[in-house]
Amino acid sequence: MSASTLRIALVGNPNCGKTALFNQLTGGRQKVANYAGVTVERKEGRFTAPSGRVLHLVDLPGTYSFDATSPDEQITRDVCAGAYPGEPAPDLIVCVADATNLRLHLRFVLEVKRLGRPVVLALNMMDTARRRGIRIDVDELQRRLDIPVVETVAVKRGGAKALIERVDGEVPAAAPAQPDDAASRSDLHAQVRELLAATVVMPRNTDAIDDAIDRWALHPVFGLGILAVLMFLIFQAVFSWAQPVMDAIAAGVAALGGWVTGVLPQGSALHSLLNDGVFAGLGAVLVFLPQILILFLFILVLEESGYLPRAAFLLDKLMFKAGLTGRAFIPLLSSFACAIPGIMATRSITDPRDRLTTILVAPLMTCSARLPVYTLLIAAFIPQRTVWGLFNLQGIVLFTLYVAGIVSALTVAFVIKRFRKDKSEHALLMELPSYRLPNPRDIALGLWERALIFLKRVGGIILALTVLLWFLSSFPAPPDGATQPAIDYSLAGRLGRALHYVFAPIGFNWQICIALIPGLAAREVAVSALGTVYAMSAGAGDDALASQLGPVIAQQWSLATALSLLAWYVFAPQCMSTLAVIRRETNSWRNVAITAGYLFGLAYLASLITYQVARALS
Amino acid sequence: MSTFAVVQAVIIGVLVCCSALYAFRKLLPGLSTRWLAAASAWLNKPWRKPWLRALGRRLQPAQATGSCGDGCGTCGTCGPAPPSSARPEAQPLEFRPRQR
Repeated sequence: MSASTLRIALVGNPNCGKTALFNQLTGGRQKVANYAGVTVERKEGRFTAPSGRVLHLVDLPGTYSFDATSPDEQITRDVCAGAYPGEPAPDLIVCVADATNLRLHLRFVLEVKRLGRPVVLALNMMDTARRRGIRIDVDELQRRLDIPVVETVAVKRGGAKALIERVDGEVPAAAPAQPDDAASRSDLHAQVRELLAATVVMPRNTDAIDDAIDRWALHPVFGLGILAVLMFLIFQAVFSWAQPVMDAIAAGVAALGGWVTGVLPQGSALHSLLNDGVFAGLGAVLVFLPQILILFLFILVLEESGYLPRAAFLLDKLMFKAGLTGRAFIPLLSSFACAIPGIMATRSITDPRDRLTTILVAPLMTCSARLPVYTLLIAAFIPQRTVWGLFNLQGIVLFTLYVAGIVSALTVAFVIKRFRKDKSEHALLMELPSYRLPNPRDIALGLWERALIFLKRVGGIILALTVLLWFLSSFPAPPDGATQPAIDYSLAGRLGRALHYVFAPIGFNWQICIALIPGLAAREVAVSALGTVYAMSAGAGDDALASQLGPVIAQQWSLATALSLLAWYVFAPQCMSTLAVIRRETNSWRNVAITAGYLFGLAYLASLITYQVARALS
Repeated sequence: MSTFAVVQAVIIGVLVCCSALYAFRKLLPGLSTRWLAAASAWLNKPWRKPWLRALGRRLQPAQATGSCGDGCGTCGTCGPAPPSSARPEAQPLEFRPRQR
């Protein structure tokens, strides 16, 4: 590292604002949220200080001590100790501490100081500390710790100015390294008590507003009721609010498709590719963007508010009975957005058996890629009716599907627990953060990023697979004198009919069988594939049919088939990326085979029961 | 065959090939990197025609591209730089017997 560059490691207890500070300094957009365990990997960024010096910043997972117990904590320990492969030791450690909770955070600051490396302490969330009447004598704290101390507010623009000025100056001298043993660790607690007595005045240990809200939010009965109502309202909103925008997008796609394909000769292959492939396929997926954004709006607000760890606390007893550790709540909750970050978030789980169980059940959480499939089928088959004068029936069905995912995950975890030889129990120890009003700018940025992710998928892998499916559905061309639509003679049509023998008992027709194959890449691809397959089946000239997938399947499928497909999507691991991440995180193809095997087995069984029962009742 | 039919066949052929390549790279990144590296090496032999060698260089995946950090030392300008060690970003599960 040359003199004009400096390598800085950001460390601290979980949820003290390291990543918010990292984003502010580097201009990055790493995920932040108001709960512990968001960052499980080391993230690297750089920025140029006012002096022209290039500062390399490494954001590390939060830890309460260097006595690491989970894989994410090991990274922090190894980077700080200079033992991380391929990474030099940091020139400076910026230890971030929550100014409202120094009783907990100062212990780690003392531990970092013992490493014998240059350290700067960033007292973060100083605005909240002042609001709560907490007074910190920063000069005295600096004198007693013998390290530079700066005040920061990581979530406010310009809140890291003092820190930039400090790290841009001379690197502070390192304190001599000290041994890390049991006796010295107990010393740390005594030192923290002394420091607090000399430098901090706290009117009360916790925030009065937090306590008032928690009296209701953490109540064993009312708390669970509030959680259930909150979840229920989210799924009601997904259906009730999105419809006007969805209609506008569908009309826009249809108009654009008509305008683009209008100049091409009717019946030509290029016309079919654009009309039946691109516009019918991509349009069928694109209309679900508003529903996905509404779902994420609620998830982001809950993440920022600090309510989610409370939900983990409320559900801990239930999860414990099912064989899951309370630490599994955050990974499983992340899986509602996408199973991949959820599986990666299991790194915060200390026990490898608990971690493996969480990884195995994470794909059962209803990820956002299932939403287009669910809402397509619900809108087509469930009438838009008000129940008890208040609730939307379609919203209730969507809520039930989400609950089905949760219940099946708990059931599978319970079964795994029965087979486990190691029956040891692990209590949940989780820090409940202060409630915070979500920042509208952060929420808007989060939604913008979710929209970009979705649009990139639509314009990337979904478009590519749609074009390939159109090609397989068009060639070989039908023979002379053929009477059926071209797709019946194509490679995809033949494949669909061959697979139909396997899927007929669960009510899937050959069009669904075709859509399941590209749908293995990602769940929402099945919707675009169905759009393309039905547009091709409709034959040339029926453009109106091609652009309206919902009414077409409502006309051609039975209710039993639709319910069976919904049951399939609750379980089936139709996502290759998830299986790839399981392979990476468990370092085992066996675990991938177990996951795929049990999920496909459950999917087939659930669809079989659903289809046969629905058919018998209808 | 009309001009429209030829243009149409070319457009569809290019779109389908690009889609297949994109899907292959996205869905099977490890395998695609190995295959593209092998194809690139086969095309980039000294006795091949310049346009074939250019295509080979074009197909070379990012990980297989020679750079001043990989210690190849073939161009004689960078010196014998040591290969950079891989960073283990993944943290696979490890089971150890519980201490009683």
